[in-house]
Amino acid sequence: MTGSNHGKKENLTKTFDTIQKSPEPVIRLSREVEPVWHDIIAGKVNIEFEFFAARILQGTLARNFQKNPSAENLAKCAWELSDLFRQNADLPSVCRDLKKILG
Amino acid sequence: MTQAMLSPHAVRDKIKQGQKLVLAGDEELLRQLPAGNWIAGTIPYFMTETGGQCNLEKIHVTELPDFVQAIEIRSYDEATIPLVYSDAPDNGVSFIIIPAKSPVHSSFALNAPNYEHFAVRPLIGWISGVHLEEIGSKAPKVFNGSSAEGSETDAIVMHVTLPKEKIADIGIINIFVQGDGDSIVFPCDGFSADQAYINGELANFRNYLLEKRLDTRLPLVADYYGVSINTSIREADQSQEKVEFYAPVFSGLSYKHARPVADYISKFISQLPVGLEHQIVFSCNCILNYLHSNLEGKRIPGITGPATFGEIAYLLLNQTMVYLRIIDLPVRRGADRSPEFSA
Repeated sequence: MTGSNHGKKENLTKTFDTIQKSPEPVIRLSREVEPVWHDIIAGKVNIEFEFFAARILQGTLARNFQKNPSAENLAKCAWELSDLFRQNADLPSVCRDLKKILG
Repeated sequence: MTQAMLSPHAVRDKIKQGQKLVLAGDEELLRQLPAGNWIAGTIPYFMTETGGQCNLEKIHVTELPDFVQAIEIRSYDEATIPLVYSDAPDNGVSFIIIPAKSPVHSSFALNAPNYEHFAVRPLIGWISGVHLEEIGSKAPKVFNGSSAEGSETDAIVMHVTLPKEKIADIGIINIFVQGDGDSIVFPCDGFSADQAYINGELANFRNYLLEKRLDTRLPLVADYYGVSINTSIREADQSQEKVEFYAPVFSGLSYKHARPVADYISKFISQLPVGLEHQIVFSCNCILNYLHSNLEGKRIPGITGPATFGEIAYLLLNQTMVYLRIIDLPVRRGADRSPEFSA
């Protein structure tokens, strides 16, 4: 945190600062989808994500894959999940999740 | 970034100053506001710095910070709401407010996970409502500040672009977990259900609730692949042929009746990540938590915002607090936010 400026400002006003990202090493994913993403969608690898959007998207994609368990759909779902991480690589929770996924 | 309960006069001043605002309040107050950079939804219930309250005289204001690069206010109807994620900026956050019981409410609730770019871009917001004594006699509304006009049919969204050194992060606090009771699986998606598989056997769901005397103030909880997602029960009385919900149930997911919570506030506070109360830039909680946990007059330190008819953190949720944080990214020499290169 960059110091909390919170407190009463005017008429019950609460003021917040943005929070400073901890210096986590950022992992940049290539556009190639590694097999682990397929395994996550197929339920062969279970990882409890910290990144809330990933947890929601994983649930949606896993449900989607259960309804249509084709190889093509698996590849599409794996791409979507990995792309979420690709696009949010700077978030601290994503950094920690990627460490869990990629080791 | 500030949050406050302000008089319509004070809100008017902020609008005239060109501030970018996300507002919640009684319809009569919102109708007094001039056009400007704001969106709003109707609701008279709030968690404030002094405790939970029903307030018909003040408006809850979330004022966006000066570092916001751009905003775009758009209305979405049932046909266009699938574009809500696609329309969002590459780096930013979108605030959405949807009128309860509108067609776009149903459509979003049932279909959001299938929208293009679902969950890839941060979307947070709530379902607008009315005073509980006005349910059925007055329609919940949202307001498009650009025109200062209200709507009881369309969703209103403020797409907010953040500078590249900042990133939005959405989270939830859900104190409910699955209890130890029966497994409940619904045969189809929807805001109501007449039948469900109870431990694998098809049964009339309304009769099941009544026979088991389940406390309908507690939600059904689905294990959504590791996330507990609540669906609150709206009506399950003898006169109904089916059970109605405040959010849809989804086929194929296994639900259980929630484990009872003895003390909402203690449980809630115990789940708050350390320091979160100083980091939240926007949050809202569910009117059912407000009611069933008797939050009126009770204070949860650092947690303020409207008490709503549904919460949105990417998708529609019930009996859950949703929150937004903004995170500063460190400056890295030679690095940008391009996802195009690999390590």
